[in-house]
Amino acid sequence: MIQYTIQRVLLMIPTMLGITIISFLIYYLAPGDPVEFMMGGAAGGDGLSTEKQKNIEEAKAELRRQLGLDQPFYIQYLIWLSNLTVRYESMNTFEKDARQTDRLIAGLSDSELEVFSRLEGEQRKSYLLENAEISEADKAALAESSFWAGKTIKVTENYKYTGSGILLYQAETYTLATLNLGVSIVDQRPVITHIKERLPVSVELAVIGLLIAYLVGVPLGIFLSTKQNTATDHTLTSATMVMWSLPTFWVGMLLIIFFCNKEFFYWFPASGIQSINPDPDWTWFDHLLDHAYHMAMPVLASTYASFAVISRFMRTSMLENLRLDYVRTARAKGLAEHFVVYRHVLRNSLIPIITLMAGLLPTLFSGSVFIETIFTLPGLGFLAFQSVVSRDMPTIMAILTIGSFLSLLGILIADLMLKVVDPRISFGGRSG
Amino acid sequence: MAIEQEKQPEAQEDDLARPIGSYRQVVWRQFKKNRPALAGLYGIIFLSIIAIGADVIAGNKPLYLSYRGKTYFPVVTQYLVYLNLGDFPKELKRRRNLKRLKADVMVLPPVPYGPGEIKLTEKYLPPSSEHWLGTDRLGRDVLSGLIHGTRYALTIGLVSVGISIIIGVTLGALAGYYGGWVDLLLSRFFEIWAAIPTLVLILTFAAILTPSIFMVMVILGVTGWVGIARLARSQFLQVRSFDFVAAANSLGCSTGRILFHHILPNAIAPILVPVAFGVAAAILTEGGLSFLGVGIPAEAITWGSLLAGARSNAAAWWLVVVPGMAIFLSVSMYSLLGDGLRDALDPKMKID
Repeated sequence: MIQYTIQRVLLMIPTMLGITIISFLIYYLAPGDPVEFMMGGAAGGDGLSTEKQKNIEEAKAELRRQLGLDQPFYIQYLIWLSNLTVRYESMNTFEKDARQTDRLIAGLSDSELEVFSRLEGEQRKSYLLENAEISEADKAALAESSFWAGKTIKVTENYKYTGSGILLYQAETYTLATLNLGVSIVDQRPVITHIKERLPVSVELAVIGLLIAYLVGVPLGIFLSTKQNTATDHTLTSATMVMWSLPTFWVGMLLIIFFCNKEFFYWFPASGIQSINPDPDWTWFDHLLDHAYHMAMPVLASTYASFAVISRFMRTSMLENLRLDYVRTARAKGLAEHFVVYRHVLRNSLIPIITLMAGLLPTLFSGSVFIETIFTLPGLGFLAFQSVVSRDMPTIMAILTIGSFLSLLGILIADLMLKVVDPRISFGGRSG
Repeated sequence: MAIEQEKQPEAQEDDLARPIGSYRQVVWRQFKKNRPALAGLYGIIFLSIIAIGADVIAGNKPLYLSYRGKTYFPVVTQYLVYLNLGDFPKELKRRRNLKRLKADVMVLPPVPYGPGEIKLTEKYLPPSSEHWLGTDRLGRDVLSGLIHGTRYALTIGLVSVGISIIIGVTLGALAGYYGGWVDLLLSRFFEIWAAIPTLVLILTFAAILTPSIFMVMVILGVTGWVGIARLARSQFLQVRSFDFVAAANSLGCSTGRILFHHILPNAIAPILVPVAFGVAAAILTEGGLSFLGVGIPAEAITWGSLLAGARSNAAAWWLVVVPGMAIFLSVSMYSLLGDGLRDALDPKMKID
C-alpha cells in the first residue's frame, strides 16, 4: 500500500509539471504586455520629448529585466515555476529586510527623511548605510540585502505615521513581482493572499456539497434498487436524471429569483456568507445559524446534481451486484434478505461510488464559479470570474494551476480509497 | 465490412436472436426501441428546423411585402444575404425597420419582432398577448431572441464538437495505432489535459482573447477533445490488430491511408457517443459563458445572455424561466440521444 501510494505520488509529478507548462504557455502566448499594465498611464504618449520617451523606454526595459521578461521562454518558465515552490522562503527574507528598513527609517531625523524620500533604489540603501544609527550586524545585513535593488518601491509621504505596515506590504508585493508577476494587477496585492482569503468559502461549499450528496444519494440509490421497476423507482430515477441535466446557473438563478427576492418569497438572503451587522450579543451558535441561513441556497444549488448522479450510480451498482452469483449463494444458505442486501451487496456496491468523488470535485469547482457569482460569495469561483472580467492574468494562472492540482489530488485520493476498500484491485499493469 | 444479407421476413419479429442486416441497420433498430432517445432525436430535429427557419418564425422582416406597386419577399432576401448570394434592393436597404413602411400589404412572421429590435418604451414587459414571453431590459422580445438563439446554441455545439473530433480522433488514432512510446507520451498528454479544470481554462482563454462567437467555438473545441481522444485510442488499438489492416499494410498503403481510410470507418461508430454528450456539454458551457458575459460579444443574443438579463431586474422572472428551460431541454435532448446511441451501439454495455 505504501509502495503504491509513493508510486502514485511520483507519477503525479510529471503530470503536474505538464500542467504548469501548459498554463505558463497560455500565459506566455497571451497578447498584452504585463509591463505596459504595470507602468499604467506613464507608458507612452505623443506629447513627450524624445528625452522623456527614451527614459520611459529605459524604465520599461529595466522593469522587463527585473521581471525576467527578457529571458527565453524556458528560463521564464523556470522562474515562474520556482516561485511556486520557494515563495514562502523568499517572503520571509523580504519580511525581515522590510522590518529592518522600517526600523532604520524610524531612526532618521525629519530633514534626513526628506532627503531620503527623494532618493531612489540603491541610493536609499547607501544613504541608510551612511546616515542611520546602525549596528554592525544591521550594517552587514543591509549591505547584503537586495531589498532596495528595484526602483518600483515607493515610500509614501506619510510612511512615518503608517508604520511598518506600508513598507512590509510593499516589500511583499515587490518580492512576488520580481519572481513571477504573482501580484494581482487589479489591486497590486499578492495573488496568494487573494487565494488564501477566498479558499475557505469554496472548500466549505465543496465539502458540505459532497457530504450531503453522499448522505442523500447513497440511501436514495439503495432505496431505489430495492424497488426496481415499480412506479416509485421510475418516477424517482427519471427525476434524478432531470436533476443531473439542469444547468447549475439556471437553478441558482431560479432559487435567487423565487426564494431570495422581495417580489416573490424573501426567505433567504441573496448574497454574502453572513449578516452585515450581526447582533453583538450573538453566541457562536447564533453566528453559525446565521451562516447556515446564508449558505442554504448556494449549497442546495451546488449539491442537487451531485446527489442525483450518486443515487443513479448507487442504484445501478446495487442492481448489478444483486444479479451476481454470490447473492444467490447467500440467499440459498438462508441469510435474511436485509442481511444479504445491507451486509453483502451494499459493501460491494459502494466501491464504484467512491471513485465518483474524483469526478465530482472538478464539477463542484466549476459549479462554484456560477454559484459564487450568482450568490456573491467570496470564494475561488467568484475570484476566477472577477479576474477574468478584469483580465487579471496572474490570478487566473494561479487559480488554473491550483484547480488542476486539486483535481489531480482528487483522482489520487479516489484511487487510494478504492485500493483500501477493494484489495482485489491492482493498478500494476495500468497504462494510459 | 459487414456483408449485406438478404432480409428475411421473420427477422423483424425476433431480431435479438438473429441480427439480420448491416451493422447500421442493427444499430438503428436497437436505437428505435429506446423511446426517450428517439424523443431526443426528434427534439433535435425540431430544434434544427427552428434554427434554420428562425427568420420565418420570428423577425421584423416581412414574409411578403407589397410596397409602391412592387412585391418583395424580404425574408427570402435575408436568407440570400446570409448565404452571400444577394442583397436587399436599394429602396429597402436604407430602411432600418421594414415594419414601419407604409406598405400596401405586409405579412409579418408569427412573432413580428427582430431579436435585436430595441424598443425602450417597452422595457421589462411581463408575458402578454403582445409579447408572448415578455421583453428584456432594452424592450427586446424574448421569444424572438429565444428562437434566434437556437442558432447560436446549435452551431456552437456542432462546430465546437467538430473541432474536438478532429483533434481527438487524430491524437487518439496516433496513440492507438502506433502504441509504444508514442502512446505513452500522448496518453500522458491526455491525462494532463483531463486534469485541468475545463471551465477555468475556458475562462482563461476568454480573458485573453477578444470576444467572438467563433472564438467560443474554438475554445470549446480545443478544451473538449479528451474524451473523444481516449475512446478513439482504444478503438484504434483494437482495430489495428485486425487482418484487413495487415492486408492494407502489405499492399503498401501509406500510414495516413490505413489510419483514416481503412481503420477509421470501422472505429468511428462508438465515437458518436461522446460526440452527442459533447454537443450537450458545449451548449451548456456556452450558456454558462454567455450567462457570465464572458467570451460572447455583447450584441449577440443567446439563451445565456437572455438569462443573465434577469440579474439586473429581480422581478423579471420570465427572463430566468424561459431561456433556462431552453438550455435545459436542448442539453437533455442531446444527453438522451447519447444514452440511446451508447445502448444501441453496444448492447452489452446496457445496464438499466
